[in-house]
Amino acid sequence: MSDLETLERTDLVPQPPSDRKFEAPESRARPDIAVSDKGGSMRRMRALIRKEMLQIIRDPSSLVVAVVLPLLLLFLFGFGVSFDVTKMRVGVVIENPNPETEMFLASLANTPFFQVRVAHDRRAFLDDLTASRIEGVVILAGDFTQRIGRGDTVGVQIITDGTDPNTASLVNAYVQGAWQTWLAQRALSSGLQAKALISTEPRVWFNPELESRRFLVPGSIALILMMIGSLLTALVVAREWERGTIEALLATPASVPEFLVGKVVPNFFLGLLAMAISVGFSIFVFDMPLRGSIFSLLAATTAFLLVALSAGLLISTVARTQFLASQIAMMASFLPGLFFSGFIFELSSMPAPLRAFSALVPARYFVKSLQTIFLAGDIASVLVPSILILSFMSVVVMALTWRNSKMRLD
Amino acid sequence: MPPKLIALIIKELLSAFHDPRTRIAFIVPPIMQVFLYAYAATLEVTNAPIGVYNEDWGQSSRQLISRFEKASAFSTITYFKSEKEIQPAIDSQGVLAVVRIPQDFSRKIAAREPVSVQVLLDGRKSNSAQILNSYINAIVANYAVDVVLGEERPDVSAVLDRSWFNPNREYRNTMVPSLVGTLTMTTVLMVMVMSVSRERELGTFEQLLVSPLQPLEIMIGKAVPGLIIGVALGTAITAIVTLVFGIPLTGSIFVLYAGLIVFTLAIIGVGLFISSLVSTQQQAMLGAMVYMMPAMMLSGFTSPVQNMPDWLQPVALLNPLTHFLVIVRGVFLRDMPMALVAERIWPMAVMAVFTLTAASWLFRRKLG
Repeated sequence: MSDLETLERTDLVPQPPSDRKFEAPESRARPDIAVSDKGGSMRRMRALIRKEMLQIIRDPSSLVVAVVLPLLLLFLFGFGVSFDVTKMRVGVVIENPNPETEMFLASLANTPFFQVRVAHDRRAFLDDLTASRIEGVVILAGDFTQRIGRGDTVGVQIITDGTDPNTASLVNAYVQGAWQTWLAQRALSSGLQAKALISTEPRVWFNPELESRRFLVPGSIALILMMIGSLLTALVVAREWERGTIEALLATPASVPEFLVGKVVPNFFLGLLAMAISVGFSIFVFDMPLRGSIFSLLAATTAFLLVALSAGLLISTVARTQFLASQIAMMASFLPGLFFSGFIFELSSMPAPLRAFSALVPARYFVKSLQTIFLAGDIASVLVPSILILSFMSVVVMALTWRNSKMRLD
Repeated sequence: MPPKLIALIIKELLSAFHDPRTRIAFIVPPIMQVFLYAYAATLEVTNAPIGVYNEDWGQSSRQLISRFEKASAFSTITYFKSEKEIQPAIDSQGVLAVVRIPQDFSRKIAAREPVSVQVLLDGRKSNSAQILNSYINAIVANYAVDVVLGEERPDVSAVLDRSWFNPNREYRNTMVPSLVGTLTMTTVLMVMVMSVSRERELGTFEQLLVSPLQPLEIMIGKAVPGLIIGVALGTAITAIVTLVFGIPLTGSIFVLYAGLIVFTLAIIGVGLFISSLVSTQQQAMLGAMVYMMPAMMLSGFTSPVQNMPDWLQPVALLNPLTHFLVIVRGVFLRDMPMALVAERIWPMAVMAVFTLTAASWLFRRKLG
């Protein structure tokens, strides 16, 4: 008989002492039962937490998760993923070389963004573009010089590799920029008005250099915590089922909530450890600013970890093998965290149903909070709603887990 | 192939697919990912909320603002009445960018004096900010040209801009075919590491050892189902890409399969290598993760290899997925000829030989 049922029954009818051999004999009067059972409950939870902690410490792979994985992932997101195109390999085709084309070529080659190769026939770069050895081709037509200033469009052509849309747009923007600068310089040297009539003056808040790393790092921390939270907890309960140790647990007087608390607490601290490592690494290695307070960071992390951990537990109650649990954890927490958190992909550009769905993804609120805490500071209008939503989600998921946890062997 | 090996392969396939829930776990995530990548994976900015703070009362600023209203890239335009409203709106991400038109805008335009418009951007989303900035720039520049046009010859020479292989620069066309590589990798790797470590954890591995099979045969018996699953999955995704999303396969399907088989072999080698090092399923899964995450990120899947620092690029070239993604994108979108594909197949073949040899050596040593 599970302890949950025992507790329910003791609430209704006082049980004969034989049924409750773990309690002191004087616990027959109801208030006393409640008091002494509270103590027993604490003791059992402590024991379960200790058991779980020992399991974590003994299996080196858990430490891999808490220490190595965050470092590895941050390292990868910090160095490996970048939307900042720093060297664009561009082929320049000059069909009819003359001083003007040489000047334009020099203005392209002098910017730090391009790595320029020159040919005189556009066919020279066909294979390179197909094999993605270059990002784009700039073609200066034979009558390039004559066409300048006529409002023509065929003087200069840019061919980009559409299979990488982001780079294609950036190459296009930079070549256009170089072209405008060159036109302006040319106008200046011929004594015409150099400055455009209306110019724009961009001011970037929070991240003046527009480094993509600064927005990717907070997002990757959220992803790391999601993985540690959901994946590990999803595995730990499934492992008990698969190895048969769940029977031993069922035979103890531990109730469902006690069992769940015993699973959540140690993994919560593992998550906090991973968070501390990630934050330290971002600040000291990636030179990220931490403009918000440690307190708001801790509040957001706690709220998010509770959602992630209880989601992991909910998965465990459905899946009873580790393989299945890991697949569901990937599907239900990691993928939505990757796609619908605004971490890499732009939420506002998605179709409306997907945008609506993203409101249900906890990582979205955490990514938003982390980006704000790291780059902008403690902005209540972002942090307070996000943390409240995360807390509400954790309560809902925990309630679902409690309802679905059947501590039976059927 | 000896019959006992065939029996082992059948056993492996059965144990991978006998449980209905596990079967679902094989089928649903790949399909889910295909649709996610098709509809959710975009770096474009098409619906961004922006703000306008117009300090000018003249006609020119109104003309400029009406151009912002007509642009499709912005979802809503918030009009600020005072400077104080700007900061909270950006802080709370209510707007991603604010265009600030100065007081003397119309006067200066009328006098043909240069004037500048301030654009405030939220750097928390650096990529979107950059893209929004270029949209706003383009609108302002167009307006400037139109103002000047009509009274004097504009000194503008527009540039003709074309994208090959994917003329509209749609993310879907490049993301969805790439899944032939990434999904095949994740699924095959998971199947490989889990099948060995599960037997270890449940103790059935001992039973395999006392069977008349040689260590090498056991390894082949584990590898062949992986190859079957990988090729089947690659085929299924290719079918979805072409039939459901209508992305044509411009190159030769044989070239694609040549790449797919070599790639799957390389991944199987990695999977067996990881399996020979771990003893529980949790460790196996973490081992697979520790391999998969870098492999995904250093492959050019989400961001191009050229953007990485110079010292990291050689590491990316040691990754089979980097090469296979070039093949997949090449064969689907660019009609890549076999000669160029071969340049990418041989590094994967070397990796396959290396990982399979290393794994079989580790296996034999561990079993012997």
